[in-house]
Amino acid sequence: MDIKKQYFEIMKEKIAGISSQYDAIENIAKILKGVMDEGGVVQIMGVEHGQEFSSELVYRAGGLVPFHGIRKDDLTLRSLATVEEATDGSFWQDASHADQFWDIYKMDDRDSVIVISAKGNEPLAVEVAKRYHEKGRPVIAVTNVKTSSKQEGPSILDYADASLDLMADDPDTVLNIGGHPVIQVGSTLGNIIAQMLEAEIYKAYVEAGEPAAVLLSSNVSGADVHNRQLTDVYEGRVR
Amino acid sequence: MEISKELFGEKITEFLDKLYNTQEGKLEELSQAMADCIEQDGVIQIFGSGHSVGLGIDMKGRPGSLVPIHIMDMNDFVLKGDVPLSVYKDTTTIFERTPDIASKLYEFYDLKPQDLFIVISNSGINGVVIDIAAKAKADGYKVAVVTSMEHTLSENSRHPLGKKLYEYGDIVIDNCGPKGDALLPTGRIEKICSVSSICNNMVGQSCAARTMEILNERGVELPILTGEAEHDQKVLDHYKGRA
Repeated sequence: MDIKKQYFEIMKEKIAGISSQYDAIENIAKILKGVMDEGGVVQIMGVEHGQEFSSELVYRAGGLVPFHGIRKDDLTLRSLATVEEATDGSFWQDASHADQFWDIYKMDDRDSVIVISAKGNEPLAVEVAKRYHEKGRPVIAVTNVKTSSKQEGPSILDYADASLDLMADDPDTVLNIGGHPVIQVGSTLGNIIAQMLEAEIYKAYVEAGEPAAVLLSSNVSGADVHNRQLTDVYEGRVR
Repeated sequence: MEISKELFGEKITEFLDKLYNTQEGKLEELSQAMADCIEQDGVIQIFGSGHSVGLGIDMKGRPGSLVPIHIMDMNDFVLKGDVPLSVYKDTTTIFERTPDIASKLYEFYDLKPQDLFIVISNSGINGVVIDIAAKAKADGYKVAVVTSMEHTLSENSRHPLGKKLYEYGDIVIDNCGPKGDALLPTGRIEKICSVSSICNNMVGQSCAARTMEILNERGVELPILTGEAEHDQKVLDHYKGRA
């Protein structure tokens, strides 16, 4: 079989497998709608490739407004973290970056957090999960269970009210070429799970008979005004 | 139809079939071009506006990933250049509309003639992505474009020359994304659940797989991360400063 086709077929099988997490997705959607109802913003921090999950939901056409990304780029751009540590991964080992995030963003006591990390045990990820947990705010952990279950020490799962699995192997590779395990699926599955979560939160709004704050694509007439009105409510907390 | 996770799962699965079935030939062309580039010791240069850069990010940096992939990043104006953050983030002047910005970004990087460009934008109508592709083309690089044809054909260009991104592509891949990116109609003004990142990742990873297969068939050692420290360091050193 064409190897590209093979990759597409593997992804389709994996998507079908997400049904094992449907209950968890429904439960998390209810938790997050509750946070949004209280005026909270759902902060999203993705470690390394987990950033893709965050980008999937934050300030996106066709997406809900009350999401905000906790991004390492925002520290490197302000010279609060070096490009070297951001590149070699040591950034995530330094829990003190959490203070810097709290300095530069408008965090609010009504907020909650989704932390995405395949391993689940980087000190910075654990610190951020712990802070929300200690404030009594909902913490959602997204890990790759085959990877996170092998780690030792504190984990974001220790502080999570609910969790999801990226459903990749450990390491995350799905093909073998020239004797090498290659090519990943975890981030794309994460993106799909993120969109399913979005669909379920939206569904919860529809069921409650309430309008959902969804960003319109800029090609829809009046989108700029619509989007500004929706984001202005949050006074700099979502972008 | 009622919006739900099940509906999204069903629709995205149909969507992946459409993407493969309509674009297979183009994906093969891109894979061949990537393999040629790597075999000639080139680097794949990736530029994507906004979420589109995800295609490059997903292909990079893990065991089983290709090494010769470089992301051209607007943040480098601050990180490598002398543009203050206040200017870069100024929402009234909009930094990416600075004239000739594409040429200036090029100056940060060590490009080689055999490099291949992949430029990604869903709408393909905005200045900077078009300028990046136009400059690459003018400088003689091979350029691949990933865009939503439905979206780009339905809007006017915002580029001074009235051009669209796909016009600069030697290879043009349609990510099949709907206009506006969101997939599911709701019966209200909004549509929800965007799909371009998912589609772009599928393009990137399926082509990376085929590229590795082609290189392997040609007897070229795969420049990939294996997770074995000594091997990985050797590959990374080879591309140091370029990827």
